[in-house]
Formats: sequence, structure tokens, C-alpha cells
Amino acid sequence: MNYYIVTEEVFNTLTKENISFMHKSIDRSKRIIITSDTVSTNLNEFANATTLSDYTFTNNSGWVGDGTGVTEEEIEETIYIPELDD
Amino acid sequence: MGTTSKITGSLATAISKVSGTVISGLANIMGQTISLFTNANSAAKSLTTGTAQAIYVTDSNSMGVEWDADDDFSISFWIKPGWDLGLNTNIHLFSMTDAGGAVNNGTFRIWYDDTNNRLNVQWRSGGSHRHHNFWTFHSNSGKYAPAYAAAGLGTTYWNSGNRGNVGDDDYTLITFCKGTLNSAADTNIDMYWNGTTLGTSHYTSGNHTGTPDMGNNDKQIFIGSSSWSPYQKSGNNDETKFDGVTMWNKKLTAGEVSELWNSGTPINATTHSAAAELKGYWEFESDGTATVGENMTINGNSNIEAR
Repeated sequence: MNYYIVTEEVFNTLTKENISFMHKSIDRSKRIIITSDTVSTNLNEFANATTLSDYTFTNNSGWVGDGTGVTEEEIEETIYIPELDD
Repeated sequence: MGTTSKITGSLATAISKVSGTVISGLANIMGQTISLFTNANSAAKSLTTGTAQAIYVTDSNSMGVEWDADDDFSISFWIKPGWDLGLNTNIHLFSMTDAGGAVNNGTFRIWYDDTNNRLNVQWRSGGSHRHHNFWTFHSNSGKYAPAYAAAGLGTTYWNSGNRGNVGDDDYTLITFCKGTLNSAADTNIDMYWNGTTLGTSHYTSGNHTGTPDMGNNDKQIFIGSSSWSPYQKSGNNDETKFDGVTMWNKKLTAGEVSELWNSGTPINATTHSAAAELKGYWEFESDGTATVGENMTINGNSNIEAR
């Protein structure tokens, strides 16, 4: 799997069925994704869920509003479902 | 008040005794039912993370809520959301974990995923032993339509600016009911918004990893935050308020949930038809004193406020 931050515009071009996790930024302009596809036009790339989670804790102001971050638990358990993404 | 032979034009609330009898011992006067239940206040969860701001109780094994994964039970609470779209995280509404434990120690939790508009439930005894399911509100099609209708949120997510279908004082009654199977399959669990079922859960057979073994340990029960570190918060725009939290030692029926909902006006849960199975009840009228069960601690900036 591949771990990225992408813009909303890039996200809209991706194959949703290959995405297993998605988390929108607070301002809804960016998305954290885990996908089986390779996305070269990413803003950030991470080695695994741990480094991705660590990033959100360090840069939480853009991603969560409670001063914490996106935990590995959330990454693992919150399955992306394309038909429920508005 | 001295001995009075007649009362005319006096407010009943000003009378504490009638002929030396405490008024709470009276069922009716002149055929009129007396209701002394008041529900003016609620518990407001602090906007801050951490145990120092938490609303919680540490069960000392006398409450009867030390449920294993194959026990039937129900959790219900009134909630008035204080979060807005900026919280953007998992908001724990009710969570309990083995006393002194971490997320994988006999945890049962109900949380709202603010980023995906999902009301989740899960119980777990390990990272590879967990059962999970959820309902979502913004899709008015197929199996999601009942939740869309029950919540009344429309296509906008649940938050302090969009509370959907509510009862008195803009509170919603959330009730989760679990059967005797160690399974999050739709046939074993029900979730209600006010008195209405949310319908079929997303995972018809449950989202299962391994087999949770919850044991029957003492629990630490948290309202408005996770029950393990960092004890996350449940509001950012305003404090999220909780009221009438109840824990039942049975899977409540739809009729029993409707009775609890009472068309949006909270009832005294000790008068509910299933009250014999009521194991925890917090009214939050003046503090965290339990009407049934053990008292809650209300820490830091969390406090009792008018509904």
C-alpha cells in the first residue's frame, strides 16, 4: 500500500476503489489517503501508517481539531467507502 | 406551612409535605398523577482533552455492567452536540475500558466519526480481536435511507449547527442495544436515533477481526471522551452536553426505547418498564451522583449546566 497527502483536485482523479483510507483536512482542501495505486503528484509520501500517523500528530492543526492526530487505530479501522463520500 | 385543610391557587412545587407525608411518597392527589421528576440540568463536557477534564466513573464491581462479549446490554444517553466541522476527528460519546486499562483492554465504545458522518460501535480485547459496525446519515438511498430519515440531518454532517431531529431542548437520544451473540452483525445489534431505529448497519455480518474476549472486569466509564489516554474531547465550538445516561442489563426492545424516548421528553428511568434491568443511571441534575450505580466524577472545566 502507498501512503500520501494529495490535493482535492488530484484526489478526484484517482480510482476510488483502490483507496482503503481517506481523511480530509479541516479546510477540506487536502486528503490523506492510503491506496494501492502509485500517485506521483502527491504533496507528501509516507513509508507506512506509523509515519503517516506521526505526521498528523506533529501537524495536527491542519488535520484534527482536538490537538491530537490521526491514530494508527483510526487509519486501520476507518475503511474508505466511495459511495459514502460526498 | 402549617396544617392546611384546603389548598387553592398554590403551586404544587411549593409544597414539601402533605399531612406529614413526604410528597415523594404520594402517587396522586384527587386522581391526578404527581410527577416530581425534574430535568433542568445536564453534564457539559469540557473543551479540553485529558483525564483532568473528564466525566467518568470507575466501577468497583457492584454496578453489574462488567459485561462480557456474549452478554446482552444497552447504552442510552441524551446528547446536545457542541462540535463543529473543525473538530474533524473521532468523537467518543460513550466509552468504557477495563479499570486502569488501555484501548485494547475490554473496551466498548460508541463514537461519531466527524470526518465521515458515521456513528460507530465497537468492542475489543486486542488489536486483532475487535468487532465493529456503523451507521451513516447523509445517504438517502438503499439500506442507508432509514438512518437518513431517523436523524433528519440531511446531507450536512451532524454538528452543533445541524442537530437534526431532536427532542426537548435540542437533545437527541442515542441508544445502542446488543444481543447475546459476540457479534456486530446487524441481526445482533440495533442503534436508535431518538425512538427510531437507524435501520440496517453498514456491515450486515459485522466488521470482525478475531474474537474479542471482554471478561467481566471492573470498568472505567467515560462520557464525552475516550476511556483511555489521551481522553479526547467531544466539543470544540461549544461544550457537548450529556444527560440521562443509562446502562441496561438487557437488549432493549424497540418499544422499550420508544418508552425511554417519550416523544422527546426525558423520563425518570427508574419508572421505565425495564427498570429492573437498569444498572447505571446518571441524571446530572446537581452533580455526578448516580441514581442507579456508582457516582461519576466531573472534573476540571466539565460541569453541570442548564440544559
